Amino acid sequence: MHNLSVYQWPLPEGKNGQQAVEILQKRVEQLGATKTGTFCVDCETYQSSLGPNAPTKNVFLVHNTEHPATTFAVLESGLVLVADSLLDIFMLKLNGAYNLKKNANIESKGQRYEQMDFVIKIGSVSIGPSFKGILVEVEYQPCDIPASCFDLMREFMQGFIGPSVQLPPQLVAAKIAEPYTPKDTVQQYLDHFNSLRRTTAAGPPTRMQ
Amino acid sequence: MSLGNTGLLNQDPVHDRAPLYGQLLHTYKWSDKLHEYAGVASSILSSNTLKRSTTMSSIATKRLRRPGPTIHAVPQHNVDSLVSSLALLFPQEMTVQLIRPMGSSAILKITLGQTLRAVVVLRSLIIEWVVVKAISEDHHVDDHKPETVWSSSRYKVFQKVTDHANSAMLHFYSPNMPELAVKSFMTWFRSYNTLFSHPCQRCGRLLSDNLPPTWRDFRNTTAYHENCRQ
Ligand SMILES: [Zn+2]
Repeated sequence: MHNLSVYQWPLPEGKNGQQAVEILQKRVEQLGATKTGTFCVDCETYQSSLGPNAPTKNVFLVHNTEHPATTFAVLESGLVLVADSLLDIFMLKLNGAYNLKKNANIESKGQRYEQMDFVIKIGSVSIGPSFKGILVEVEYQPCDIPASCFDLMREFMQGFIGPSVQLPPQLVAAKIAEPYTPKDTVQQYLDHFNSLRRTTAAGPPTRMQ
Repeated sequence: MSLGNTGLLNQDPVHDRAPLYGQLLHTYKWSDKLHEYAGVASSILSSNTLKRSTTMSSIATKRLRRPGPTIHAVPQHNVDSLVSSLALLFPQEMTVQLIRPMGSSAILKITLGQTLRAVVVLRSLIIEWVVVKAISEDHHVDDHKPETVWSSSRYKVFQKVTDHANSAMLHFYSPNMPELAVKSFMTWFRSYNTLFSHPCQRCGRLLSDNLPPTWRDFRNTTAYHENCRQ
């Protein structure tokens, strides 16, 4: 329901993932935010196997601890299905038509913070044991319309991320005057997951978009 | 201490079981103090020229049409016509819905763009209660869940706006011109349409203590942070 932006945070020079997360956490705590548990957003990939000549299509199953009873299924076209978490079992029944892709599970996991009406989540992204990057999620709960409150969110985020945050994430910018939905969050994470899959953690720090 | 004939009560042999006299003394002292305080308050208030009530004793009163004590009991259709005129005030930004879930008292559900929703409880033409919440919060005042009228928002920003709306309700209160009071309140309240996007007039920023400017000036509806207003 609420308005939310996810950013990738480039690793500072000479720091590993763990150290970088600690730097961010320290900054957020210095702002006076309180810890409110942990969070996890994970994504499983299912591949279609409809025949030797049919092109393989992916279906992504995303879970978000913010919506514990829900499974989001996302097609490559961007279509999002919001379903009961029983969908996971249903997908296993489709074994043969759709198969779980091995070693492709990716997740962003970390500390959740609250400060007044803001929620901050600092997640380190990993595929299995390998670290892929850091995602920072900032949510402003009272307002659903990104166009109305992005300036306010930017002021807040610049307080701990720094001046590199200027524009809303592409996906948010594309429909900035429409009410934000949990589907948009799933899409934002998925976009980041897909680009982080292609990078190696040791690679050059990517610029924040 | 003895208060005239009532002192006889003190002679009552069942005194221990019925401490009537002690209570009487206590009441007497209490009402004596009340009288004294009221006297002091009256002298302070009479030196204050800003008055809201109709105790003006000058000739001017006679020329004014006095609404009399019926202000709390105007016919329902007067309230209805006021509400329908409110809906026409800012048709682009503000929608007003009238419901009467508890008898004749009107409750207004006011939606301000996509920014917020307010529940305003009227007693005839006087605003008695305002609570402001997020659009996404529960507002089903009509389905027998009174707590949605009286409970406050879970968000800090709307708790602050509710506080300020209540002080505005008192500021605009005017029993002589109740319709004007309600309309002035609505005109003021409409400025919250830009709650999340209008920077503070004083410091030029959007956030102060992690809240947007939640205060609106009563005269010109300029946005200020709570701590930035003069
Ligand atoms: Zn200010």
